[in-house]
Amino acid sequence: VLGPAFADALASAQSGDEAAFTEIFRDVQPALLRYVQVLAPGAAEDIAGDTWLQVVAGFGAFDGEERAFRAWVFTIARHRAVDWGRSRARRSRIPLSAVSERLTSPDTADVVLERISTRAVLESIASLPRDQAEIVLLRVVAGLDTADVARIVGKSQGAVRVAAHRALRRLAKDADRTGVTL
Amino acid sequence: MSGSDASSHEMPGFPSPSWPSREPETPLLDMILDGQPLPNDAPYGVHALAARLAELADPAEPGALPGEAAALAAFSRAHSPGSAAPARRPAPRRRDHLLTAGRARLAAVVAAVAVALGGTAAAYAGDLPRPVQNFAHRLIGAPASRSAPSRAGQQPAGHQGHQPGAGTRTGTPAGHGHRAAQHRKSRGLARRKHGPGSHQLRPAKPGSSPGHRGSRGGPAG
Repeated sequence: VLGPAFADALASAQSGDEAAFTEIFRDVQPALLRYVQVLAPGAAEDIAGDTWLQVVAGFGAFDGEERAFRAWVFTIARHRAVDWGRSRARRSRIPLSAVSERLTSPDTADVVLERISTRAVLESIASLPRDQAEIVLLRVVAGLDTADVARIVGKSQGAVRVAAHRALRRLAKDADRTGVTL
Repeated sequence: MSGSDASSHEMPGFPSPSWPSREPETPLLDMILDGQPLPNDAPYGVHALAARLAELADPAEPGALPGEAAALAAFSRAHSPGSAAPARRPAPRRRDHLLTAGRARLAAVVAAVAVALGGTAAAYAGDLPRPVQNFAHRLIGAPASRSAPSRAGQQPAGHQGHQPGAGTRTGTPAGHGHRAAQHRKSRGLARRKHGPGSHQLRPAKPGSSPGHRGSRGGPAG
């Protein structure tokens, strides 16, 4: 998260400054890849790439603070991931267990997931029910608040809060049960 | 320490079915979700969970990231001088439609003025078809149709090209050659009962009109 520097970076990037755009990209892309990696395993880079193309197309018209920008980017990514999931479902059904398998397999996005611990916690999140996994990622990885997440996933803020709590309790419980600190 | 007081971390060998009902834990979970620092007395497992989740939000290692080159290329294209993509705050699409509609209206007005001017000039030059020429005569005082006065001696249109001054129009679509060809064609049409141009081109008195004769052998006169 760029914090106070975001406004200047955004203004410079909207004026065509590539360095400023790169700064924003590098700040958002790791979280974006991790989010998409769980939603669309095996297609993270493609979906993230499509997301950035759409972001670039509307970049000049964006007006808002950093949290709103991230919410916008992750909303686009979610739509692309949903589209990917639908097209994938038409071709073949992929069990949810395949998510963990894909997370441990080589992927072009592995440069972002270089740490084993990072990969391990992603695997744990991927083992959660889909809505809980997504909400945790949006809250923790994307850094969005409950209201933003509720808008993105189309649930009430109360439902988002409950799902997030259940997800964290389950993750902590699994860690306690296995004796592994995630 | 009783079992109900011990956390799952303190007694890792025992399952903790009471975990979901521990309402006091909820503020800790909210702290994790909000990225806030946890109190020191929070269970170790919660600390560990918070630390691992925080790693997910960490920035990547220095250097180019996957997809960075493609995203930068798209950004550069969008901001290149010749790009059609707007660099900043594009105008609403509705405005484009309005501009297009305005241009269409302007083009229509220009075309109408051009047609009006051209039509007026043609009317004063006597180049319009006879009914139109007569209408222009009544409306704006343009010369009447040249063949209008001699109703009894209506001539084929092709003969108009041989009137004085008409030679200058030779070679134009309204010139003699074209009209003569039209007349030759009309002879065949005149034999039909419902030929669209036969009535106008057929001589009022077949066989008596000099124009009709002339149409066979070329310009009369």
